[in-house]
Amino acid sequence: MAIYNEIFDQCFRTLQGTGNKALEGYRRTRYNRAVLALRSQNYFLSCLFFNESGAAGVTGVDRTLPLERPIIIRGGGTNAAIIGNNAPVVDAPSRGSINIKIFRSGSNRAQLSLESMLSTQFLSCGAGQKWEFDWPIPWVLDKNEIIQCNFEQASATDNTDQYYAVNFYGVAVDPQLRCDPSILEDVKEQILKTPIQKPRYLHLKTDQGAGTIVLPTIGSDERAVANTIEVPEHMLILGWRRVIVGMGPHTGAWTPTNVRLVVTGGKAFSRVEIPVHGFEYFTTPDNATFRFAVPHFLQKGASLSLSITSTIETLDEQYMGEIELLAVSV
Amino acid sequence: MYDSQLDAMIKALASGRMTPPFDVAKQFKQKRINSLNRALGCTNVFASASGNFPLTDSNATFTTYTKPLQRDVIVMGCSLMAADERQDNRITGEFRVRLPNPLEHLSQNYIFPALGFAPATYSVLFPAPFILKASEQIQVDFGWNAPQAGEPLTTGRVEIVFFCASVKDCFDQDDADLFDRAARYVNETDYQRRVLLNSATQGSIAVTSQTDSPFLGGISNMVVYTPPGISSVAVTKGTLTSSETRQADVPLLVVGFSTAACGESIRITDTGTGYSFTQGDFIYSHSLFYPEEFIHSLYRGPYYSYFRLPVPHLLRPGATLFTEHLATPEAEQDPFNPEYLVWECITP
Repeated sequence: MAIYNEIFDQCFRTLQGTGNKALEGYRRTRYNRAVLALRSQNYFLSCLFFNESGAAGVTGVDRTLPLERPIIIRGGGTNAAIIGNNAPVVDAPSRGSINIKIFRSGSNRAQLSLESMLSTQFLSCGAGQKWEFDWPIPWVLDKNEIIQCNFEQASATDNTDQYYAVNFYGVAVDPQLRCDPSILEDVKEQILKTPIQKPRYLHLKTDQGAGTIVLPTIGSDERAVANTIEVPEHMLILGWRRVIVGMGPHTGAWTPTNVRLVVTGGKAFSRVEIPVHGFEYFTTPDNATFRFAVPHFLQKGASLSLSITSTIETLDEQYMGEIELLAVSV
Repeated sequence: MYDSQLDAMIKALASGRMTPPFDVAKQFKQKRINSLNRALGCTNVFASASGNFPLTDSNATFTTYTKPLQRDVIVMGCSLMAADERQDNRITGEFRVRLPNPLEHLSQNYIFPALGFAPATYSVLFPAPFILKASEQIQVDFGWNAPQAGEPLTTGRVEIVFFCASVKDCFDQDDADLFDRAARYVNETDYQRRVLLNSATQGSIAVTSQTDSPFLGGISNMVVYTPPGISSVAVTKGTLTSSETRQADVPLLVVGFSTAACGESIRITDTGTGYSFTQGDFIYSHSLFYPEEFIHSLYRGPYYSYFRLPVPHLLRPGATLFTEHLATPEAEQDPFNPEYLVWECITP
């Protein structure tokens, strides 16, 4: 909300007739935020657990990919919170529930939790923890370190081939601002040219997708690539909203994880495709959007792209969807 | 302000007193006066536009425009509501918002509104606010598009409400007097307080829908449609009733709104200034407040107990908030009878 409030304040001052007084400070804030966005990189990491039988007691272990730079972990979430069709808030929904232990590598490191906990107790669902991606305290994962998740199916699912995922969201910061110096000059020029930043929703859409994302057919391992327009000016991507891709508006979020995504184009958000539902549960219901801790800088003329693969779970309604990126001009 | 007050209270208790230390109190009071100044300088404007698909065809579209406003406003966000409030298809189709020059379109594509613009339940704010000049209009295109293709089509009324704020560039004498009085109140009190203003139909008797027997003490404390004394009979479409809060005894910052309403439209007036939040229009009450959240349909939303006004409204001492309730002719559901309406306020 910081950007929103800054822009509101500038709109307010403009209508009050005092806009020019604060213009210099407002411009400086815009420039500094653009530099921060250029310097930072949003990362998504994920650990997966696939339970083919759906039976209770099945265990699994997965690790995040090691990164070559330190990353500030802002928070995390799982898709295993509310996945029952009709009983989303009971302890044993029809999609089952899982216990999770989360470790990080390296000796002498404080661990997130030494005990095995029901996922809903500390990651999501609102039972023990708010639907929230921002953990109370961020922590730094050093370069080449990994996070390991031990999964255990705590109650059986009604269906087979059940995916569970724990996603982590973090930010890496480049100590050196390695970008083409002309970009900074361009940013300055854009700031001088436009007195107040402008909002915009950028759509990710597949070819012949009627403005949205459509997978070729309903089935597993169906792939699609979606792109935004090439942005006409330097933009900051603040976050996204998503609907239907694996989450029908009618049946709701209890549709199981069935789509993964990765946003690429310029700096990659993630090295691999990750189950997206681990994010969705934290964009709803009181946020509506997944907001980045630090905006993603999208250079003039660039676009973002997205690849989607359907998984082998429940197939209805996963063939179409919509993702909007929330953007503000620099 | 919540954090500031908590901070001041902690510092007060840490120093072994109920009142904050002098420097903390001074700083906190200054913050309160600043926010008071901002509240007096801003006014909520709810600009609505509505229409309906002409036919149940997936290629159907329609365009609607907001009314030109008399003042420049800051547009902060919007919410959408369909006439059929009972089902999870209450927001039907997609929309795109096109802004007058020199502003740009908010989106080049149609947007599915359920996640971001569902009234009250989710974030209704745009990524950033923008200024809409006086007399300019916002054009809103509605269309049945993927991913809604194949979904049930309706031709019911659809309404979009833009949440705007107008800004005063100077205070008149009345405003200046009010500011002085409110600032005096700030200086005389250590902390802000929460105040709930109930809005009720004056002289009404609220009865249960099961037996039509009066609620104990249900006199002049709920919104009641005529005929009085009967709630088991559906309210006739087009019936009008009203409700009013008590008079504010001190200046109050109105910050939120909550209602149990279904199938009704409302318009709200500050009786102190005669100012209408909706510019005289009726808007669906659920465009402001919806008690269910959309992801888990039929779950009463525990996340928002009330709709937070985009900017606080300063209610003058002696003034009331007067609301007219219209059983919306186009709505599928009848209004609850009786229903509640509560305004949440804080002292300056």
